[in-house]
Amino acid sequence: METFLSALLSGLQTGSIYGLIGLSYVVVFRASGYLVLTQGEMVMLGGLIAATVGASGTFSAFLLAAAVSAVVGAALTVAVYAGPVRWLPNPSPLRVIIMTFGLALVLHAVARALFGTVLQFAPSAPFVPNTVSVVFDRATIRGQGLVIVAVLVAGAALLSAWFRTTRFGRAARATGDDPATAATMGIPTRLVIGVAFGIGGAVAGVAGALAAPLTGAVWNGGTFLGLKGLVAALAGDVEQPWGPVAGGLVLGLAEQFASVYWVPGWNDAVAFGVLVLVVLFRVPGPLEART
Amino acid sequence: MKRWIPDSPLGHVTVGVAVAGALVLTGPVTSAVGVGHVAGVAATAACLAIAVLGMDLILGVADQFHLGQAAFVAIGAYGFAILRQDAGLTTVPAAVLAILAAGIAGLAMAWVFFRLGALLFAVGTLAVGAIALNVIGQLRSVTGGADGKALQPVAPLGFQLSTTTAELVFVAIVLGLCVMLTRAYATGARGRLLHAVGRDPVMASSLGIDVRLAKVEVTVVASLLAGLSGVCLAAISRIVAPGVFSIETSIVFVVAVVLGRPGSIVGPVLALVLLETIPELVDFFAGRLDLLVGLLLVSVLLVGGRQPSLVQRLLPPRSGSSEAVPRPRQEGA
Repeated sequence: METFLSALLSGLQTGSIYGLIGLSYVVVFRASGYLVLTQGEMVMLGGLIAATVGASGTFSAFLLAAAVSAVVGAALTVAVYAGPVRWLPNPSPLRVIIMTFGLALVLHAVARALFGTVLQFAPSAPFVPNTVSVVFDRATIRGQGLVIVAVLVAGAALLSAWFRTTRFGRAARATGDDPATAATMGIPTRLVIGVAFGIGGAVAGVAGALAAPLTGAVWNGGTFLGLKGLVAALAGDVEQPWGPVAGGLVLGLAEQFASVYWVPGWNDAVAFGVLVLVVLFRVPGPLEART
Repeated sequence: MKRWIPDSPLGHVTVGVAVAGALVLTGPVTSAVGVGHVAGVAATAACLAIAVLGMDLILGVADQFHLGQAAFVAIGAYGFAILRQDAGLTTVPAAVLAILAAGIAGLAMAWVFFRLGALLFAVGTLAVGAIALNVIGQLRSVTGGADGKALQPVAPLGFQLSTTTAELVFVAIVLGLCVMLTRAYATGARGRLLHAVGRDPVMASSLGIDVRLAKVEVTVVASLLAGLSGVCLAAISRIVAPGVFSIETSIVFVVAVVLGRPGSIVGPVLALVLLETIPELVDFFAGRLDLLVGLLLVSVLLVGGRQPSLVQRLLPPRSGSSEAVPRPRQEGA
C-alpha cells in the first residue's frame, strides 16, 4: 500500500510539472494555432535563472526568482513571435514547429554559454515544509510538489476564466479559431497572439523555476521536458486549459507506476509511448483541422 | 526540374562517381592544408549522409517531415554490432540482416503513421526517436548503455578498415553507389509517382495512385538507407554509442536536406558533410554544432521560403517560362 501511495504521489508531482508545461503550449495554441517548441527551453532557462537568482533560499529571493523566470520566459517567447514566427514565409503550423526547434537549439547553446554544463538545483519554496506526510503518515510528498500542484490548478482556473470571461480572452479564442474573420471584426490579432505568446512563455518560465528544486536544471534538459509537456497538452485537450492538467496527470502516473511496478528507467519510453497512442487514437479536432 | 546532369543511367553513374571521388580526395586535400584530422570526421559524416539520402526521399520527394530518422540509423548500427559481435555472424550477413531490421522497423512505423497529417506524423516520428534512445539506454546488457558497444575491426569483402584513407575509400564507394541508386529511383517512374503524391496527395489519389502505399514505400526505402548508414558507421568507428542517435541528429538530417535543396539528392549529402566538418574547421563552432544547425535552420526557413526571391524579382522573367515565378508548394498530406 505504501508503495502504491508513494507512486501515486510521485506521479501527481511529476504530472503536475508536465501539466504546467503543457499549459504553456495550450495558451499559445488556443490563440494562434501554433505549437511552439521553444517552451521547453523557457522551462530550462527558468530553472537555471531560479537556481542563480534564488540561491539564498529566502522568501523574497524565491519570489524574485519566480518573477524573473516568468519575465524572461515571456520576453523571449514574445521575441520568438515578433521575430522569426512573424517573418516566416507561409507560417504553417508545421513550419513553425521546425522553426522553433531550430530556435531551441540556439537557446541550448546560449544557455550553455551563460550557465555552464553543471546540473543546478534551485532552493525549494521556503514557506512550505520539505516533506509533507499524507494518508495517516503512510506516504510523503515534497512540499515543493504541493506548491506545483497548487500553481497548476490555480493557473488552469485563471486561464480558463480568462479565455471565457474577459474581453481579451474571448478575442484570443476568436483569433485562434479564425484569424482573418477576427481581424475583420476589429480584433488586433497580432497583439492578441503576442500577448498569448507572452503568457505562455511566463507560464513555462514559472514551471521551470518551480520544477528546478525537484528535477534540477541543465542546459540540455529543456528538450525532453518540453516534449513531455507537449505530450500532456496533446493527451488532454490542446484547446482547453484544463486539458494539460488531465494529460499531465495521466502521463506522470503512467511513468511512475511503470517505473515502480514494471521496470525502472523506462520513463521516456512510457511517456513517448503515450504520445504515440495519443497521436494514433485521438479524436480528430481543431488540431487536425488547422494542420 | 532542369538538372545539370541528365536523368539517364550515365548521368546517375557520373553523379555517383563524382560524389565518391570528391570524398576520396578529402584525405589528401585536408592533409595538404594541414587539417588532416578532418578526413576522419568527413568519413563519419559520409556514413550519416547515406541516411540523409533517405531523409531527402521522404522530405524532398514525398514531402513528409520525419523527425526520427536517427533511430533507424541506430537500429542498423546496433543490429550490426550485436549480430557481428554477440551472434558471431560474418560481416556481410550481419550487415544485410541489420539493414533489413531497419527496413522492417520503418515498414511498421510507416504502416501505423501514414494515415496521419503532416504535423502529427512529425510529432509521432519524434516520439519514435525518443523511445529508441530510451530503449538503447536501458538495454545495457545488449547495447552497452551510455558507454556504447565496442566492435572488433571488420573487413567487409576483404576491405581492411585500418586507416582513415581506407575508411574514406570504403565509405566513398558505398555512398557513391547509394547516390547513384537513389538518384535513379527518385527520377524514375516510382520517383515521379512519389513526387506526385508529395505535391498533391488528393490529386494523386484521384488519379488512381495508392497514396498510402507510396508513402509506406518511401519510408521503407529511407529506413533501409538509414540502416546501411548505421552499419557503415559501426564498421568504421568500431564503437556504437547512443550520443550519435539523438533527436538533434534527426534535426541535423532535416537541416541538411533543407539546406541542400529538397529532392536534389546530391545537395543534402554535401550539406551534411559540410555541417559535420565546419565545427572542425571554424573554431567558433567547435563543440557548438547545435548552434550552427539552429542558426542555419532558422535562416533557411526565413530566407529560403520567400518566393520569388529578390534575384528573381530583379531579373526580367523569361518569355514563355512557367518557372519565372515559382508557385508556392503545398505542405504535407
